[in-house]
Amino acid sequence: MSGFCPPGIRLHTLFCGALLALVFALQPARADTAALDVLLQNTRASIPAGSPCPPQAEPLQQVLCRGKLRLGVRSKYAPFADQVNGRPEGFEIDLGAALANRLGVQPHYVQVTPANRIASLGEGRTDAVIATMGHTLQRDAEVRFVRPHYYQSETVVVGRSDLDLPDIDTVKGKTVCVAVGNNTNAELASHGARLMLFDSASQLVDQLRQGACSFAAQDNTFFAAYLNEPEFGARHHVKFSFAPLPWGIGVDQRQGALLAEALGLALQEMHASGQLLALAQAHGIETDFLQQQQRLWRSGPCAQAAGIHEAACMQQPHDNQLAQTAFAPWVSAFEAWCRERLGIKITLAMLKTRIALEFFLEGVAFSLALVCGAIASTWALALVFGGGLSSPHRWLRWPARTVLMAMQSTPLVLLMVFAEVLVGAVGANSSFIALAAAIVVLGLFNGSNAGQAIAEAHASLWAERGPTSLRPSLRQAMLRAKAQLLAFVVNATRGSPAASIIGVPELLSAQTDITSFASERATTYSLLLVFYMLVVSLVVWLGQRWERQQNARQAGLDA
Amino acid sequence: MLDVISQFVPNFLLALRVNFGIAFFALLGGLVAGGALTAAHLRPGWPRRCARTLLTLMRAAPTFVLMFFLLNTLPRDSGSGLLNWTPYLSVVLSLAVFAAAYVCDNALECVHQWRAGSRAAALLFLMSLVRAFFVMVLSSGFGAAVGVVEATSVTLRMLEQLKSPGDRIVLMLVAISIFMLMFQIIYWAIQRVRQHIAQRLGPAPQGLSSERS
Repeated sequence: MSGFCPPGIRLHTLFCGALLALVFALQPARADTAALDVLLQNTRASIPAGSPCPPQAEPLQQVLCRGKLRLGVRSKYAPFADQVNGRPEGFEIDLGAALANRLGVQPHYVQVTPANRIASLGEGRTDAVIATMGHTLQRDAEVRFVRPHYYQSETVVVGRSDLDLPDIDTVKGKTVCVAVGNNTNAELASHGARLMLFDSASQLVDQLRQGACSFAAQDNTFFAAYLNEPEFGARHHVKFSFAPLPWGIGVDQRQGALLAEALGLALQEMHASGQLLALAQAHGIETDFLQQQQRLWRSGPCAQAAGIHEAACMQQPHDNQLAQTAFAPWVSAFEAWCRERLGIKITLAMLKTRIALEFFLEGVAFSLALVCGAIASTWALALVFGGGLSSPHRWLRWPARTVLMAMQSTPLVLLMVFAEVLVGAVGANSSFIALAAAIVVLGLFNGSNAGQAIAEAHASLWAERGPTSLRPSLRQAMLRAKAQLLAFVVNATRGSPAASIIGVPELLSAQTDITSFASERATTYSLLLVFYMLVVSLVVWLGQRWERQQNARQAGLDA
Repeated sequence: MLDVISQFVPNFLLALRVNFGIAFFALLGGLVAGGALTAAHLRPGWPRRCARTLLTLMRAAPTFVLMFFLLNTLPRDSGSGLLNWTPYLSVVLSLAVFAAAYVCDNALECVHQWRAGSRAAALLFLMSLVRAFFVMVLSSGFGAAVGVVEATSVTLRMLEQLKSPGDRIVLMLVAISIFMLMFQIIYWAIQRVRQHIAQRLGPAPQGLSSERS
């Protein structure tokens, strides 16, 4: 060409070429729509003409033959899927309609629930399910997920607008209300949140409204509708999110490869063109994920048909399986043996996963330390208060009486929280500080009352001996009041689980955390009750033994 | 801070009604169960053995743990629509277990005193019930841990709104002061009535230890 064009024209051509190249480079790449058309054409061609739809045909063939795409969808999950005046409405409903339209067939909606959505594929009631189904590694064994994903949800912590909670690291020590069974509860527990458990997500909203919960954690799509309500939305906001979970369309695991390919290509087109984003915006749904997907599917290799098989273009499924302990299989075998031989259904969730075992062992250790500390502090403070209340000096008696009045008039839980506020004021914040604070509170609460009994015993001893005799010793008074002292030592043991309310990771707190993600309650809380009853019984037995020894020693002295 | 306190105190006092309600129903349940235990204890043979075993178990069960156990193991939906298990009920029942053991202990002492001819000392059983009622009002604060909206949980929710440690300490002192004032008046009244009965009718027997948690 350079041989034919004069220099001026050559420059102009070069400039135009460069300009056009620049314009094309700036144009977003479009998804390759031809691939889906070819796939549909070839599949239609493979359907025998003039015959009824063959029942053993591959699902895509059946869909094209019937002219109908049967979609499993949920209800009562606005704005994703709901029934309004008997008609399905929502983002997933419109997505299903758009996909059916792209395949050239009619959509037909079949109602499913989270419990039966996967089963509906195997039973042949649906061709595909678009039912708020998170794509997890564990579900890959049961259903084939269409790629790319059409949405992504996250777990959010929602709370009162006037409270700060910027990220997951700040949940330590905060009470967060959760629904039992969410695997993401394990992450909150491991960051030190105090979990309050409820059966269902709807109860979380009630508790937020009533003010019983200041924070609640659940999937963001669950809260979407409530946050759109003027009253709820004005008083509550999303504080932070974590644990992203991609949502996928599910098809039959064994035979659905071709249908998955077709739906995947259609989804690729919808991402790249912005149609999926527009649908989400129309239904008032969070669009960060879809905006990111639109950029992804418009560029580079992801814009090609083969992009739906490129690992770099795909989001990985979420792995919500918690790491198992080495002896989990033996635990399961033991459970099965109990069920078959004894007819007792037990689930030892605290022994099956590493995180549960960690919580459990830590809980046992802290509980035992708490009980030992509470007994020691009760005994020590009983002597301090006994001495103070029976002191001849007013400056000792009156402070002791004031503290005793406070201990006798205030709920233990409130005293625990007060101790937490005091240690928080000096910036101390750890499980061991909480343990120390709880031990002091239990000691004050029970020791002050036991000290009153010792002071009364001191007074009665002195009255018996006569006012001119030597003051009885504190030890003598303690021995006279030993029954009362032991009663309050036992009381301190019984009251020690209340320390969980200020973040001591004792066994009650640990079992609550384990229940939150293991969903098992009966065995977990039964074991907890048995543990504490055994500990209390042991303390009672040791106390009675000590009392008998003292009585025998006193009888020997008297003789 | 004055605004906060003026907003807090009425809510706190209103929420105290829930605490008193829990204590009332728990004591009622405790009276029924404790009465049955006492009757069984007074009969020789297996009724007494069963009563003793039950009492031992009831004394060993910490109220706080029992509350969580009941809440998480009993079915939430009774199916009949008449009684659905709630956090409120779990607090009431866990306190009723404590009340039943307390009622049985004191009732047995009352029967012993009555049989020994000390009718007056036996009447102090009523005073011990009043004392138990107020112990359970204090213990009903456990409900805050399971979502019951009572005085302690109202205090905790208000605490969350306060950023400054000084303000939080002041609020706690206000809550504790209200409890102290209320209960010291009650204990003073109980003590006066007890002394009046003791003076008019004879010396009081040795009191049983009070369990406050």
